[in-house]
Amino acid sequence: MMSNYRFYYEPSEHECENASNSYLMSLIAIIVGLPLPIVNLIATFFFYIANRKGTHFVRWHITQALLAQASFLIFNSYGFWWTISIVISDEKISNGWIAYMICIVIFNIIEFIATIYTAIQTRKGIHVKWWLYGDITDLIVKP
Amino acid sequence: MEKVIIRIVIILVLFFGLFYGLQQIDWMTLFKIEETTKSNEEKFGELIWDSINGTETIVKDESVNQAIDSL
Repeated sequence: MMSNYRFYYEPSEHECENASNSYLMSLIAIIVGLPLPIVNLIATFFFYIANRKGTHFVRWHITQALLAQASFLIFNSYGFWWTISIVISDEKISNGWIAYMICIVIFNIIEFIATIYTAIQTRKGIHVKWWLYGDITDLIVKP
Repeated sequence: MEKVIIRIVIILVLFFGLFYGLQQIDWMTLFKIEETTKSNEEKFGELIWDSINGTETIVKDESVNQAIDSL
């Protein structure tokens, strides 16, 4: 699902730290934002704003983290509001709801593990390119 | 660009395929959700009834009840 490369230049210590922090940001925000999916995105987005003028390596990894968060927001929000509607309105627990919840939990766990792994690798200066997200980032972020 | 679109389609198919597949399993009977809901409803009903019985004065007079019921 991901591939490790050497970046076309050797990123400095400071760059590695910033790139790794962008992934950590989304992990830390999970503690606050577990029930509210948008908190993750906001945290990553502000980190993106703060570093958008950074070097290519940093920008690349922030964009990848942001893209992943943004796409998960859609699925997680849908699940979140479905759950809220069960709690406060006439909507009942159904097979569909349980299936959807299992689905997003599986996808979130995969993303969570991938994020931890990537945070560790980028800290070492290894360029980790995710399946799909890495390709989109390549299209968006130009050196 | 083409690669990206194909991969987006793959991931969407994967997600909705998994969702569709999981939906085929009868989770409601597996987790005994309907029975649990029913027994919880009964428990709540009893609880509320008990608390009303304990705190309010209940009029059991036939003539009053009949007048109310006929409304």
